Amino acid sequence: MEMLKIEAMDAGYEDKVVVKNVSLESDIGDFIGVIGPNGCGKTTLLRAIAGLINISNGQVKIRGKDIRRINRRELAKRIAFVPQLMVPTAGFTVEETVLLGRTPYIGRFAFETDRDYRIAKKAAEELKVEHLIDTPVTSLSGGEFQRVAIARALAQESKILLLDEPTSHLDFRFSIKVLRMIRRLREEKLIIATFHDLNLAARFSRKLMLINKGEVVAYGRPDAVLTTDNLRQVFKMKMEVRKNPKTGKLRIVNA
Amino acid sequence: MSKLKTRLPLVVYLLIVIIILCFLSLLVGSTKMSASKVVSSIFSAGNSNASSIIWQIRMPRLFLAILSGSLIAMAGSILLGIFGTRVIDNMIVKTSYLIGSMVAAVSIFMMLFGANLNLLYPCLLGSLAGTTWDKVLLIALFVILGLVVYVFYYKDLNALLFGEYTAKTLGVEVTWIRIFLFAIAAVISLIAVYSCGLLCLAALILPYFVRLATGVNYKYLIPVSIMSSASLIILLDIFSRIIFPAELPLGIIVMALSGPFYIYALQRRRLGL
Repeated sequence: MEMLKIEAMDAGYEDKVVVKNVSLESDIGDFIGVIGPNGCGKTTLLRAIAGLINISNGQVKIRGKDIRRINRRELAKRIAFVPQLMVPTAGFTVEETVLLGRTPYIGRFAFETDRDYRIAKKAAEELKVEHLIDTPVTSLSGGEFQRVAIARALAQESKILLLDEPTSHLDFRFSIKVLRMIRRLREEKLIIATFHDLNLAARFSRKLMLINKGEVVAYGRPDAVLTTDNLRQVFKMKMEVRKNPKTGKLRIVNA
Repeated sequence: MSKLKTRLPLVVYLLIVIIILCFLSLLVGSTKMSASKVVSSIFSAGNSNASSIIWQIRMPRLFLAILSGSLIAMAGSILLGIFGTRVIDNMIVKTSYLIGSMVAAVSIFMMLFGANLNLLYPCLLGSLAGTTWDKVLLIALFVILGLVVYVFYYKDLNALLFGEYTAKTLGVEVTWIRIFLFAIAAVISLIAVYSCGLLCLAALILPYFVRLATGVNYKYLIPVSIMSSASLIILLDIFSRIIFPAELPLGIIVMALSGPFYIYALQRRRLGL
């Protein structure tokens, strides 16, 4: 049974439907980049998958089970979410922040065990922040904190990892670094990330989902989605897609 | 561990402050006693006049001050966790409305039954004078309740700090936790009113300022708030005994002193800090 299956889903806030008729089937090993203009519903789509907002039609299933039938604690063991604007919170060290990811595993009347600390440490190592483990998060750089935020999600040991614009306030070098780390995680996870940078999305995603006004315009391999026609239709702008003949990498430029 | 290195000193300083304040609180009162007399009376629980003043009058009063401070600190921290910094607006507008109607309701109720309204004023203004051990024990039970909730729910309060969505993706049933913790905060506040008077609730704002020093991590915020708040109440209770010839109600002092802090906090919030 597939890890994640979305069936003709409509989702949004209160009475306002933001994303319409989205369907998707995906499994571990995938890295799906969600792209589209500002306000097209990228974040809303991730929130719907995470069970944070109202799904008015259709359903989201994890291994065949509707997420609305899974309680929060169990859902948190299956889906981790890194929001776009996670603010460093005064009074927390890197270790304490990463440990938050263990919350769904710690019983109401229990405390963090050695195992939780080990898993948090491993998550920090994976994102190369283990040397900062006792540093207060308020003294980290943007790039470091973003990695801590991802490590926190990693400590949840979920099979599905959702990232909302993981590189939105990182400089170019850090964006590449962080995305390389995320890509490595793909082996044991299904990753869905939103991007506003089409070039980064094309370079790191295995599949792309192009959204416009809440509806999926195209879904598939990057070179199949990023066509001049699709981009013109969605971004109302003439764009040219170039393929590097040597590396096969796609590059989108404003023509 | 650098965590301990940075966090321990604050706790140690506060403990020293509390111990000094406790001693001062036992020293000050209408019957003059020397420091050595106080110390010897503490350790000789005999039937002498001095030791009965210490053990039957001043000690319960001191304990009640510590417990009241703890209750207010716990309620204030929890409210801060459920409402965020909006708590300042919420507290001033909603709580004053709530308290106003509560006082009106109780007054009417008491008048209907022909009770003496003078009974109401200690409850309103608050004073720790005339505390008995029975009252101390009763209040202590609720302090223990608060501590249990702190130990088992600080993780949820921490998760809530990162916003409703993040808390939910960490597996926290946000709505239920908010309702439950609000109910606990309400019960604790009510007991605090019984313990030291309505006006003392003005000290609910203290965790808001403690937070600026310790950060918002609830694991540390609540214990440090409890210690600061307990120190504050002991200190103000000492003041209430020595500033004026007749005792000034504790609540009035707390209220008057916290005014500027509310204005400062509101101002900070308006500026979006």
